[in-house]
Amino acid sequence: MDGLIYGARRLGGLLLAVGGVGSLVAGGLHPSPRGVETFHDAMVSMLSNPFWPAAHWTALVADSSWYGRSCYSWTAAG
Amino acid sequence: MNGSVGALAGARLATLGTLFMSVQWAVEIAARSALDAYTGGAAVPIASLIDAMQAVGWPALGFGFALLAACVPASAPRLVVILGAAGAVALGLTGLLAQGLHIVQAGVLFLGGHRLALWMIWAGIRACIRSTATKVSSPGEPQAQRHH
Repeated sequence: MDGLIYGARRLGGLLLAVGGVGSLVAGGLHPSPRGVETFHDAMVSMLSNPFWPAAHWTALVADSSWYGRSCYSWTAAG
Repeated sequence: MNGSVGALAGARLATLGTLFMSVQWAVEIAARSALDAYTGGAAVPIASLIDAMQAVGWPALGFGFALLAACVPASAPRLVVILGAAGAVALGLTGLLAQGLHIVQAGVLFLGGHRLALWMIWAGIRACIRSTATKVSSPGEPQAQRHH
């Protein structure tokens, strides 16, 4: 039983770190609007950027229950 | 990693926020197909959906992780914990201000996500190392006996 708990915590920690790296990569890829004054213009600027899909696919892969589940198991096991 | 009420509440809120935002990322990917209509000023329901989802999702994710980081001080060095919690709060506020109220200038608060990511990496690696060390050092026998 102890092995299961330690294993879950180790996996949780690993996935939390992976989620953090994925979040950094997604944030780096995400287009940021420059020189715009309205929310509409900001959205048009970002949606037009070719990196828009890549940034959100990265976030989706990094998120998909990985670090959510990991932080849960990490503290619950604590 | 004391499993305090605050840490557990934060973990659950962060979990819910993360899962919710995972769905939201998919909506954002799909939104690109509405670019022409959105640029032309037409009513685009998917854009309104993104705003609503982010106005709820970012605060849940951000405040959940802020609570988690703040209530588990042993997760990382104090400076990293403070940066992570502050970054997570900034992320939560961005959802309300930038997406909910459309205050463009508030978008800069999204940079708080980098601080949160730093905490996640540090805390994740530390939890991984500690659980490995604990498993190795206590295979069912008291710690004191191992030094004899």
